[in-house]
Amino acid sequence: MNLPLPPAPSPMHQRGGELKASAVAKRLPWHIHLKILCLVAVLVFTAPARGQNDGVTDNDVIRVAERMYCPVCENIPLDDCETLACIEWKAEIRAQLAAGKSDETVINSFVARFGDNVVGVPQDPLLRALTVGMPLLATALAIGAAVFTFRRFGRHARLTSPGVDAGRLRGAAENRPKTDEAYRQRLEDDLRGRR
Amino acid sequence: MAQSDQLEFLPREETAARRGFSLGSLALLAAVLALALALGAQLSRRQATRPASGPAPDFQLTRFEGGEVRLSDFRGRVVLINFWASWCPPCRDEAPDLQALYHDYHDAGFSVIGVNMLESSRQKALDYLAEFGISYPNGEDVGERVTRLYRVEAPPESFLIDRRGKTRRFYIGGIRYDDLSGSIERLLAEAS
Amino acid sequence: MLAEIGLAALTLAFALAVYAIIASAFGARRAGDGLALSGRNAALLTCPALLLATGALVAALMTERYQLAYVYSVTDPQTPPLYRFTALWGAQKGSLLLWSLLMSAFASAAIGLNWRNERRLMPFAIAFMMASLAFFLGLSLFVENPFERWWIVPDAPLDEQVVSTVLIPPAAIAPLEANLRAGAQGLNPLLRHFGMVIHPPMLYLGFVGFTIPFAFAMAALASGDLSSGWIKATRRWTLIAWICLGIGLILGGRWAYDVLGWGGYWGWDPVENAAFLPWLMGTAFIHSVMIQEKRGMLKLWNMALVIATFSAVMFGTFATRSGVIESVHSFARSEVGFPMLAFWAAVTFAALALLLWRWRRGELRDERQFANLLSRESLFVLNNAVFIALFLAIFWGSFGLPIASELLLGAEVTIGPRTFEFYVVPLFIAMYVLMGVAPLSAWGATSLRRLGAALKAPLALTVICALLLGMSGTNLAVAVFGYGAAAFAGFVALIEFYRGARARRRGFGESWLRALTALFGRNQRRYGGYVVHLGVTVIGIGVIASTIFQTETQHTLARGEAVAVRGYSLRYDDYILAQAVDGRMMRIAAVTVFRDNSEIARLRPRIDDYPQMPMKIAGAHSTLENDFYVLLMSGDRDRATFRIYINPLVNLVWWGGVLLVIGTLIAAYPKVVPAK
Repeated sequence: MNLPLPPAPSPMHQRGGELKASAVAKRLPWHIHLKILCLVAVLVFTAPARGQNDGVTDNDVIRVAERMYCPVCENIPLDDCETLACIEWKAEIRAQLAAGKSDETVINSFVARFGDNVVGVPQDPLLRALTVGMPLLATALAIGAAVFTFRRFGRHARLTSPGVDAGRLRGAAENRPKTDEAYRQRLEDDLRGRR
Repeated sequence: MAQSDQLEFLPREETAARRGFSLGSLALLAAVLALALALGAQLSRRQATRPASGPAPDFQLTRFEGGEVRLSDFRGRVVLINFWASWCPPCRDEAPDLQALYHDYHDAGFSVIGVNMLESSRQKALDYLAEFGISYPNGEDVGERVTRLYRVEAPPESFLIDRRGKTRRFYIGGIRYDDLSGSIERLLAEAS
Repeated sequence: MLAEIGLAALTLAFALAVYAIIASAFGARRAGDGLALSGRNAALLTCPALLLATGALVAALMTERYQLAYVYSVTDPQTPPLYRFTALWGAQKGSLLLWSLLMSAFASAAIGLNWRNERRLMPFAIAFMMASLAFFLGLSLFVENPFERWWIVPDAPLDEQVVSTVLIPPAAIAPLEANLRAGAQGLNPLLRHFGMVIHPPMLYLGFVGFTIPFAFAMAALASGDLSSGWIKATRRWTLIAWICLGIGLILGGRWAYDVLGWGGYWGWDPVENAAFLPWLMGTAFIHSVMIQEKRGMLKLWNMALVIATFSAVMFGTFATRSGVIESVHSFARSEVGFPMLAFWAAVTFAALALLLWRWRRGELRDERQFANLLSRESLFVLNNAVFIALFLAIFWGSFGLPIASELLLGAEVTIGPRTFEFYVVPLFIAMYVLMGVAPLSAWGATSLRRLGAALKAPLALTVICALLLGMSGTNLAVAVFGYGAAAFAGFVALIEFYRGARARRRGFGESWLRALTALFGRNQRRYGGYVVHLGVTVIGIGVIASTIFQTETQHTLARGEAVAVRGYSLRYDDYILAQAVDGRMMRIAAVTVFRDNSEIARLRPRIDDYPQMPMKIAGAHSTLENDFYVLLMSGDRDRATFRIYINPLVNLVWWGGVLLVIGTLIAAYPKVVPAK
């Protein structure tokens, strides 16, 4: 979802002056068209796959393909990608599954040939450790910082105000609103924002 | 609630006001700068365009039949680096022309290096080479290294390199014999 | 003519913004100086100037002035009027102009409403608001000018004969109208959807809205007036920005669901995440400021959060518009990348430095200390920790890891939904639990006993729900915990409504309805907040159900053949070729959906063949229980391949969004009657 952003074919600002044409009308983003010709499958010509009796269903292929990405398709899962390269890759997945390979083997064979950007979870041990480890570290740090805040203030409170102890807190507990009137009163107190 | 009001009221320790920044603050500010620098480096990588002029980046490719092919080994010759895939229709269109050009100009000092990209299986690539009787060196771009080096987006794309190893022309899409032969002849006529 | 008007207005707006910065900054030093007043007036005038500039561009789009390069690049003669208008935000240049207009409108409103009450802060705040406006106007003016026109320069070398420039080149002639019309490119087909009419402006409103609290916070830091005045002045602005961003995110999800054809609404794409990150930070901020308002605590932290939120907004803008990371949604790569990066870095660095400097001087001392781990402020701090952890994890997956890997290891990586789900599931569960507990604890101190007593009812209800779920066959631990945590937070909100209304009913003898409305009227923020919590609960349940229990299957059917999927069956009836008014060809499959052998819907999934790309438009039968969502993958008269999704409870995501909006409006609505 999101930000509207077309691979805007502004004729002047194609990368790096590759495009030279001499009339406005000719300045169609021809390289975009070309890319479509060679990359995007023209679905008109692709009849549905019929009668492949290899024991592999479309769903098997989807199961593997939805964990993969094609390296030139700007972050579109292979499963949802309709470029010729992707169709070719899906056919290869089907062939490998038909040969009896497991999902993981198939995926690893692509990773071995194309690198970690063809899967949504890196397979390389170092990258994998970084993928998993850093967010855990971040979470630990965030919670650690919160706990540190409490502890520091907690110690501070004990040092400066020895009266604040469990006993007084229990006292506060006795005050808990048992009746609706008390509850309402608490809401009103809250509203006043006792600063 | 009155009672809890009292126990919230905690006197605080007075500390003298200080000036400047603490060490932690400086580290934080340095981290912002470091992040900005990393983003800048990444952005300039992303914004880099195909090396369509200037020295052609060197690379090494393992040929399908074994052995290495290295761009710098062709210094002194005119080289066309052709990125292709067996599933790409314009590649199939241009393949006979490329082979014919290679055949006609090879002895005059022209070479083609085929870089096979995004191929689904090695067998398909071999079938393709056999189908078009391609005899110039070809190899699979394992890990998409060359593709990335040349920032190729989709096959076919080709780079024409002169005798001194500089990229002179860049082609996107299929090439015809006649489009290329003139350029090749011109570059062959240059001194190395 | 339109181009000249637009250009002049844009230049004027830029000059006004720059003048406003200077006048306000100098005027702020001397109270009562006419200079500050003059700066204010200049700032207010940017809005009409930008209205004129944007109006000129819209007029050019509507009247097909293809000589304007922008009009040429986003519309063509076949584009229908509605999409001519929305083409204003169809590409970088137009959307930057819209962005500036919205920012200027927000700034004007904030100046108008707060000038009198925050006399001391205002000149500083104006300087900061105008600084960010001036930056974006500068981009529009000097880098991505929407008023560039096509010219033919016959004397130039062949390569440079056709140019698009802001100023008319010497000896230039205008291209032929017919050539321009023939070459015009049309709006990206992905953007031809109703969701795209509202989604980008909402997102921009959310983004620019956070400029206001940021500017006031910076004004407080710069002026040294570090009371909580800036929070009071900006509370509603923060809520409005927050909800606009929220609406933008939800509409974006809806658009993806309808248009992108993959059966989902959130793909964890870096650009989607770039818009989600400021929302997370903003959510943390909204909660955290309450502690400062009520208890005078966390002053440093709140400043840090508002700076981080604005920084995340700028980062998201940069990430989206620069192409720094590979994404489905990025704008075409453009020259704005480095200026935006520089602006982001400068703003973040300067704001942080100012904050740390004030802090070091001891000017951000808290008025109270944390006394009790179970007090509401402590739980809010934990909530902040959860949001920060979410922020860091999502940032790392979307940007940190891919960039670090590319720069340091030379390896490109893609981080997919599975990784993000691994990151966020435990954190969201923690968030829901805190969302349930925090409202039950009191400011200052709460004892375990008191909290335990308050927790009894919602916990009991949650346990009953979990047991019912288990008995109905849901045995996935993640699902049970997820549903449980979300339901718990929802029950707490509902019980609070009930207790509050009951207390009033008994105290004042009011009817239930009256008690409930009075409750909302008396304490809009509290109960509006609970409605928001309820909305988040509903969204959470929808997300869990539609993510974990989605059915996805693909089948190829002969005409007349049917396939059974989970109690439904789908029959392929017919194949139709048609042409739409805008010229695109459509391949349409007519299918009938049955449930328990009775017909429930006739759907028409189709493929639209735009020149740029084919688009799969789903046919969906939508009920509260689930969406039966079917895509035509490919086909001909005899056979067709369909992908079928059954997305349970997915509509709760949208309905939860509605609750979110209602709750926020209640909380932000100006106080009407101070009834007892």
